[in-house]
Amino acid sequence: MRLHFPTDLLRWALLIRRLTVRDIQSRYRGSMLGMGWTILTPLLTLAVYTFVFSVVFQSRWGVENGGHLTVAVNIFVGLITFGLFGDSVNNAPSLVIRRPNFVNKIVFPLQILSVVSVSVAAFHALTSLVILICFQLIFNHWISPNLFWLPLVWLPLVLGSFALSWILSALGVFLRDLSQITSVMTSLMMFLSAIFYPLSSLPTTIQPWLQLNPIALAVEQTRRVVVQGSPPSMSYIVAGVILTTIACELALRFFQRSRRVFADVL
Amino acid sequence: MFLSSVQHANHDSEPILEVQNLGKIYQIYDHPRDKLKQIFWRGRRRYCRDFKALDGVSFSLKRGEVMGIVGRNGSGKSTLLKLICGVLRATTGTIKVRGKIGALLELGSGFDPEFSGRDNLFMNAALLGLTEDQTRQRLDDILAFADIGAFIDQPVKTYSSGMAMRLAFAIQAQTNPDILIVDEALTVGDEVFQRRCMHRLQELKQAGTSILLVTHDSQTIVRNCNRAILLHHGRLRLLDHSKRVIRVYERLGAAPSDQWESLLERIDTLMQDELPQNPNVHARYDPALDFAPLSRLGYEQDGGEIESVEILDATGVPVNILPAGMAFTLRFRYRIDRPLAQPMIGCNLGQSNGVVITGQFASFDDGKSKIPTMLAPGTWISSFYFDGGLLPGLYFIGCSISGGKPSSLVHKLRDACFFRISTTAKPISFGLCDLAARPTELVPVQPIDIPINDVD
Repeated sequence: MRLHFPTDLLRWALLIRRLTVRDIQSRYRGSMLGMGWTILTPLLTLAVYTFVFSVVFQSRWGVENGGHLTVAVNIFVGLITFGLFGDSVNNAPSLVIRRPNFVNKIVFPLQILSVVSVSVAAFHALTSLVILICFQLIFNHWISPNLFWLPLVWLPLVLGSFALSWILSALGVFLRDLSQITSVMTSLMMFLSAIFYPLSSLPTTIQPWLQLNPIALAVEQTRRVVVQGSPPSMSYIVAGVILTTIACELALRFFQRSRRVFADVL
Repeated sequence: MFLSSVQHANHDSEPILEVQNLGKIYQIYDHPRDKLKQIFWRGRRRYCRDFKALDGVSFSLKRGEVMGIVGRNGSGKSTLLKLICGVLRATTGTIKVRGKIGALLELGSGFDPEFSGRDNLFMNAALLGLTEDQTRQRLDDILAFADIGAFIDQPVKTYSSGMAMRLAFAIQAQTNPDILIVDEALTVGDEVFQRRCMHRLQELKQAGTSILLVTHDSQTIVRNCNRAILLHHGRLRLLDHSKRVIRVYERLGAAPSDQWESLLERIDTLMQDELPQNPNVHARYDPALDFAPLSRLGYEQDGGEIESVEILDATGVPVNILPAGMAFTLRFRYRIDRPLAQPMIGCNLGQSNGVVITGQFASFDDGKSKIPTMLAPGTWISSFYFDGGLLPGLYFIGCSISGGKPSSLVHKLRDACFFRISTTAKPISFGLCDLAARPTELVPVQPIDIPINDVD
């Protein structure tokens, strides 16, 4: 199978970059703090989690004897990782429908809409993560060199989001109910993705089932790299990259095939 | 990519665009999900109704040629353009394009209203395949052409439609496409900008760009296009020199759509009197032209009605085609239901674009007796005599009758009927009408010495 999607992404790299920047800017356009919100929002979220889990609930992360802060940090990492995926999936069904102009009026590479949407989600995840790392630096005076694995850990996550976004945005043109379904599914996925608990805290009979959820795996691997400071599982990265690359290729082909009839429906 | 560009260089005489048997059938779905079902069943079941927007259209476009496309709303013009630039996919037929297409379909539809003109400019340029550097190089040219001044840094939502159009055209015109597709776009801007657009189109044409132009302005097509296409109900009905196509189109313009088919069948007879070797010097009646124009509008009746309008030639015979220069009479028949004091009747002659060439009122109050004329109930006839003076073309008659004290409208018809002034062998004058200006003989300002020893 020849891979088409990397060349396609490269061809439109400039447009993708511009649209991504514009999308990020437009979210806070006209607000008083402007781009300050990209930093402030995750900062406040982190503060809320720290307060709730370390002061109100006084909870502990699994069986390990970590501090209260560990709980907040672990949950926050989980939410960031899941957020990248969840935002992409929730936006996907409306990506094409929202822009009938791009379908009917001008010649536009519609496939890059998904790429832009995932890139924006990745940007927000990344800023949150940077804040989390600063937080760790301040309170733990330490970050792990294994943090540099992060791009590779997230690569399957990003590619998988591309693939899902392409499929959902194409289907979304025909099935207008899709966005309702995805929002329910993502909130269900959130609880199945080991965000508010470590995988290891589950009964051993259930654990393998949850490991079938690729998001749960990505969350766990991100925690290993960011919180625990250990290197990621190589089998996760290798298998993840290969599988999601194939998924991307198939999803993009599906998208390009179905876009032929977009104009007839919109 | 490499191969195709080599072909380019070798076959410059090849048409840059070849459209063959192009057809587009829109499948009308009651619900978007039906489309999915249709794909799933692959034609074994049908969930849609078909609408033929384009049917068997074939033509080709040479390098540097400008082709106009005319047709009524819904005749398939926009569908044709969208198929050519790839927004839509053809149901049947093929499109061969040897070069890069630039499209001005609906201007500014790629703009994001929240962002500044400059942001949108760069975005659009990226979409059109310009790199960052290329865009910067051409930035000054684009800004100069768009000529929207400091607005370039304002959000596009604050632009007037003309400004958005200018910016879009400026960007598009800088990408040097091989084929430029322009759909109605140029009608948005003001006069000055339209001229500049036309100038730029001419420049592009000189540089070898082929242009497909859709506009309702006949003059633009006649002035700028080499050839033109007449589309009707998705079919190509005429492909000829732009002048001839526009003549046919304007002639059809007044006819209701159900008569188009029969008129189009007889295009040749319709155009016959246009041919200079067959000058039509006689006024005549053509049943094909005998219908109420679509634009006809009757006002509310208040005590009477204009029953009929007739065009009579010099001998008093009803006609609807007159040779230029021949005198004619417009005869109106009025029915009056109640006594009408101080009656006043009016009539006017206008062109198909609504410009009134002439009009007058006639009042039967002679102004001396001070006794208002009273029109008794019944049917009355009044005529307006015209000395000729109309130039070849289609003319629409409007008429009115009013009266009473204070004066109020009894009945009024706009575009009650129309007639045609046909071309005569010798061109007489030009403009809107012939005011019968007559040149004197040429007289020298100073006496001229005529040399007499030429013979030596």
